[in-house]
Amino acid sequence: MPLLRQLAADDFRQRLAHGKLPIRVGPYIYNVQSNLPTVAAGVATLYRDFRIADPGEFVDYNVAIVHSGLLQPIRGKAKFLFDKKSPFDIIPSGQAYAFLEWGMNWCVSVHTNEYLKLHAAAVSRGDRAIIMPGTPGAGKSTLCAALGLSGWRILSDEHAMIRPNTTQIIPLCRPVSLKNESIEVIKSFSSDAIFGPLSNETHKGVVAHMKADLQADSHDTKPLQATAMVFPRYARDEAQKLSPRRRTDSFILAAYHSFNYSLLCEAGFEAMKTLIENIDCFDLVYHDLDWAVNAVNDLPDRQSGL
Amino acid sequence: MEFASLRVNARPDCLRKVITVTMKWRVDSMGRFYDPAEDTVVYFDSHSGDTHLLSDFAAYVMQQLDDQPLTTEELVNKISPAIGSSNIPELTMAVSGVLEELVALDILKRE
Repeated sequence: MPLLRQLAADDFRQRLAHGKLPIRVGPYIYNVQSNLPTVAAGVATLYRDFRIADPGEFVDYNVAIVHSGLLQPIRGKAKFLFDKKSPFDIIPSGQAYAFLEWGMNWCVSVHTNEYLKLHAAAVSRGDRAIIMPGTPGAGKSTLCAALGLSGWRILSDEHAMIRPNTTQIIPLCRPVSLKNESIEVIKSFSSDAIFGPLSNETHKGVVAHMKADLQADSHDTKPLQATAMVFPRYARDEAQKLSPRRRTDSFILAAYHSFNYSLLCEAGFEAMKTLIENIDCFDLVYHDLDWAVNAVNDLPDRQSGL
Repeated sequence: MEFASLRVNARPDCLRKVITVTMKWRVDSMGRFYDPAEDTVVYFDSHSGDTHLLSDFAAYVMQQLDDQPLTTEELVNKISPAIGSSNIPELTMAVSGVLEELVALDILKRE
């Protein structure tokens, strides 16, 4: 399996244009297609160290962002396709790259139920992983990016996939989505941050994705043991603190942040119970990113073994 | 008019007495609890699929209904020794409040 960056430039463009670019992401294979130059630039930058799947391997998700017809390029419109069907409205071409990433998130959010899926970032260092659920705007992606630039391995910016009745997280490393002020915050935090194209005037404002596979083991597929769940909350005017959080409250909030807890019914309850009772839970209120990274670095090292 | 008014007032009192004596509380199907010994308990209602955060007292009251439906009085008598409370009126009020809340959450039923 070659890495994407090992493809010749022409080969890469041809594969992408014709939907023959199967990229291995964690346990899944996304086959990506696009005839938009901005998407090609984003994929080439952010997925350059991802492996291309072998011919004949099963593709989990066929996704495309394309101009279709003669008028869409002129009108500056594009559409997202999943298995050649369009589940969303047509979008402005300037939002194409962000929409590709959101569409790839959507594939996992909607179609994958073999794991308990939390709307959460997840990072690891050594054999210890931390889950960080958060509502949009809570600062989880910003903190995730900063941790990734500080030696932590980014397991996911969006989906913490938990193997039921264990504390194991399945790595699903893809670019980190940053919005508005967070883009400059991360650029100031580290000059090592690599960004894809800017998507302007999206429903979330300005969006840019940061390359997430920054560690040598970023593409390992082996599950990692979660030892803590941290609920980050960016608050400019509050005192910064890392404080223990009750397990029952954490259970309810994590269930609220889950994509499929309700769908899994009793199995979801049991999976969440196993997870919560075997990890430590914390609230993290922060406004200084360096302080927040240090706080996560200093989390007590609980041993989990499920 | 005065006679009629008295009769109207009398009938609900009479009915209330009958209801208090005979009404029992039941759980359709006891769900799953997660109780990490905090003062709250997570309860998964397998009947509705909903998950609730309950006080540990509410969870304890519910668990007494696992075997069979009970009246409020029977519940209070069952709970009183276990929690070491001899103030029956106060405990009855607390249990009644919890039972009403559990009914409102559709976790308990009256029968």
